[in-house]
Amino acid sequence: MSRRSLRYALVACMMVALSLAVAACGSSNSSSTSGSSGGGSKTVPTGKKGGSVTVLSAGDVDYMDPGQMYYTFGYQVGYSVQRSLYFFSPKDSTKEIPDIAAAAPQISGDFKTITIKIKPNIKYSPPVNRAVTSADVKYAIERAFSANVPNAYAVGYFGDIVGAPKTPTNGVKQISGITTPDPQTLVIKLSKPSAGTVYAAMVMPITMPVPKEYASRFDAKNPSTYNQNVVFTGPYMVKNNSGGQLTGWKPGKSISVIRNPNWDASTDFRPAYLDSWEVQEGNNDAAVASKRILQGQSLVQGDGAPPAQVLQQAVNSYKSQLSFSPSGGTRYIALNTKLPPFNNINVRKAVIASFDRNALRLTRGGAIVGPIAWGYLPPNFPGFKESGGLKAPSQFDYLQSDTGNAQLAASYMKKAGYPSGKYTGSEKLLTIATNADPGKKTAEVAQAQFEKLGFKLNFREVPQDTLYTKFCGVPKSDYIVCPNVGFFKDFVDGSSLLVPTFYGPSIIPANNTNWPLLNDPKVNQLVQTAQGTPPGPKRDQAWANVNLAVTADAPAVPFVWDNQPIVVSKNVNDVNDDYSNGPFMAFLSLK
Amino acid sequence: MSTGAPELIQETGGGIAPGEFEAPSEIAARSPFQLFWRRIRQDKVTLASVIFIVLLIFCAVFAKQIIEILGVRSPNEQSTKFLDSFGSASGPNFSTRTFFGTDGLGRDVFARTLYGARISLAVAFVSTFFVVVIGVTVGIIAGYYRGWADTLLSRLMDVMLAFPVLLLALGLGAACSYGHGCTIAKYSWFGHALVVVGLIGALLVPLFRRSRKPRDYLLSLAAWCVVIVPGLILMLTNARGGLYLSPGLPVVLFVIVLAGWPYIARIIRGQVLSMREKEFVEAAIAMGASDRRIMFRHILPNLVAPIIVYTTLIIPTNILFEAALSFLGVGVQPPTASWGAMISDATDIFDTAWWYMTFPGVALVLTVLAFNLVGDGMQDALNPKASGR
Repeated sequence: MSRRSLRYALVACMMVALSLAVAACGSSNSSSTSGSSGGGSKTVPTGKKGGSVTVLSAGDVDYMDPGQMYYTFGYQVGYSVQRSLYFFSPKDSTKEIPDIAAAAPQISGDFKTITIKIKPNIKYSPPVNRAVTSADVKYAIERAFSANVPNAYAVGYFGDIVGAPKTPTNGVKQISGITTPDPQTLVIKLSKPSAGTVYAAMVMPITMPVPKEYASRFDAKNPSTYNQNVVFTGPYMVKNNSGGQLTGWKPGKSISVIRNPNWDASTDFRPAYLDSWEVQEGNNDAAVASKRILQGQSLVQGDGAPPAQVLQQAVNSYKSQLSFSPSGGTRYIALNTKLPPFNNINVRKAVIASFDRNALRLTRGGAIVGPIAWGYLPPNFPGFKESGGLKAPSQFDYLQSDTGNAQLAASYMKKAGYPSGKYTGSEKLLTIATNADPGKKTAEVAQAQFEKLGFKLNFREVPQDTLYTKFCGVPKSDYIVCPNVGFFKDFVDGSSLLVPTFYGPSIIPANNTNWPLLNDPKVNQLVQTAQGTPPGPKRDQAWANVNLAVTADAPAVPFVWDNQPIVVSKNVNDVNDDYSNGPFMAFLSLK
Repeated sequence: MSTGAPELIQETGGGIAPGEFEAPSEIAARSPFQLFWRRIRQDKVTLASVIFIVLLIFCAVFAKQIIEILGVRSPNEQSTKFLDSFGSASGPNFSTRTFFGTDGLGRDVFARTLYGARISLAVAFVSTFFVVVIGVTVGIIAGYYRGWADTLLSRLMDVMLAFPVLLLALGLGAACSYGHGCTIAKYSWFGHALVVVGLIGALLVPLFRRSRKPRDYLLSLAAWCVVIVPGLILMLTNARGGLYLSPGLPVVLFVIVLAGWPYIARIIRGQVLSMREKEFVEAAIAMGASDRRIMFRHILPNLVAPIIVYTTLIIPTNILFEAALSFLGVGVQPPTASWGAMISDATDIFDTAWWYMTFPGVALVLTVLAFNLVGDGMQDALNPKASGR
């Protein structure tokens, strides 16, 4: 053998060794720990004050500006640096407790007026420094209706306020239905008896106060530059300079969070044990990030979730560092009900009947991540029991089998006009999937399931944000299947799960979340009825009726009501925020 | 005529008895192929590599039949039976006929490794073919004509060589993910391009030949009408549709060819520059041979040996390039099996599912090694200055 050949062989061996070494860098040294209690959303461990942790995330928050914030990771940061009118304690994630508000609101008998008292001694961080007033909450809501502060849900959840614009305004305009008789009182008048929905939505960032005299100069620009100059009311704040510019936020790289010097612990249910914390972004490999957290010190999970194989390791060897937070939503495969072939309800039912939904759930970790879904209200959510609970009602024969029923699927295809029992069209269905695991695996399983029924897919993998911004969120892109969608609660009420996703008038040209493009007059009517029902058992039943009507339309293949797995390092007392499905930073402490 | 090297002489008759004198018998020299074959036969490593490659091609072509005979599932067949309750893959198990284990979707790794060979070999051979055709053509033209043609083509090669090819591949892979893919040309634009290229070609070809007769230019124009007329039709009818660079294999082939041709073009250009000064070229010019005849009938045959050698060395490079692109997610689209994509999927789970990376990884290493060794052996065998071993 010539010298050159020997060289090649050596190089080849080095390549193999290098690739093995790189992959093995993430391998775990199993260290079995026996169960001292880690965290969970119900137990709230106390720890020592002080210390710092690092949050490992793949991406950045969407916005720091509470008027624009609408992303779970944005919430994980946002609800520890800001305070909304109401929020949830980790002890009970279904009941709102007052945060900026002093007490539960007074709701008039006709459900058209909401009166809220504001706590008097909550202060902004530097450079504003003064106490929060009701006028600040008024301004916060009003600015969210302007084109300069694009808010995804203002019109949907707060559009019933008297005088609320129906389309984004040019600049911030006053809303006549919001009044502030004194600095501690906020009165909201509604054009419909929808106080139940509006009150439930007051946990959302839109109600985080914004000082008008400070923010108006930023909001005058389009888009508003308040995002880079936010002031804070929570126990923590992002580092800023004397002018208010956020110096601690390097978009795409890191966020440095320190204590808010003006925070008064006596006004807040958050204990804020840590002195500081930092978000490190760019941790795109979820498996590597999760393993680092499990094996490291003072690390907590950000926007990623441990993939199945790491989850297995965590269950077997790091049980005390693993907890689950109910995501409060459903993952499903959306079928475009406006375009062929899925504009035929029998074809949709055939697809649902044929799907092995257990195989889909296995891509996310199996039974441990949650039960197989059949509808769109998850367990423990108002309306879930009324809908029928964990098992699909018997009228939905196409949802009875978790592993698929080929015969039933064939019979639905025959009803749809395909005598062979399989789809015989020649066109390829545009299917847009995410290119990151576990969604990528889910999409590949879905692809195989569709092909079993004779469909041919034009399968494309794109980044998750592109999936939403260019395809599935844009009705005109003519997608046929979106296999990686899921919708999770905005607040604890059926309207937050069923209105943006299956209500006809919710369909918008961009940033659309009614991915199946469902516009069924019967469903729309039931939604309007439910929205007008006062809070209580009747409202829960009304939303259950919407859930059942949507399920009857078979617009999607629901496959899991998942519980988000959350991992933290061994020296961290974990407390979860079930609203953002992540560690509640203002409750974390070191052991 | 013998050069005196012992292996070049074949014995044609019996020995001479001592004391006798006979007129020398006719001596037949070995042909280049015989020399080549003799050297290759003696190189056991190269022979083994050739056998491996032949086996690999056989397995790739008959992959379907092989898995049927062995009772293995097809490569895209998913099954939850081979996953545990967490959805984790299962290891090699002869009783269930999962010889190489399964992946995270329950697909058989043995079948996917076999089918992955198809992608690797197809990409390697097809892309290498185009790289060689384009590179040799450009290299010969640049080296033969010299002057401004050489300057233009050499600068083009320099630009392509300076291009960050991996970034281009990633960018194209991302940009061409949507819908049909990247639009290379709408048919109406393509028509414009054909007309322009046809007109330029009609003018330049006679110029290359240093022709001064108007008749030559007219004949050239008539010949190039083959290109110009369809272009006019597409242009004037504003034809719908177009050429698209769709994601997956087309993007991979496009990037490999785009990145690969300058290397061989440069080498060939250098060879042609020196060969052009040789007497046989001068003699051909003196006898009135056309440039095209000289380039392709006199010079090109003398380039066969280096072309063969560089081709066998380019093939493993292209195999690795395809694997790298698939690893980065811009190669073949799922569920098509590709070694690079399999290795990429396996990196996250290597510590719990070692088999998923190991088998396609070993296959890739052995394939690249085999081609490299064959290229090395070819180089030694075709080298006329090599002495016997």
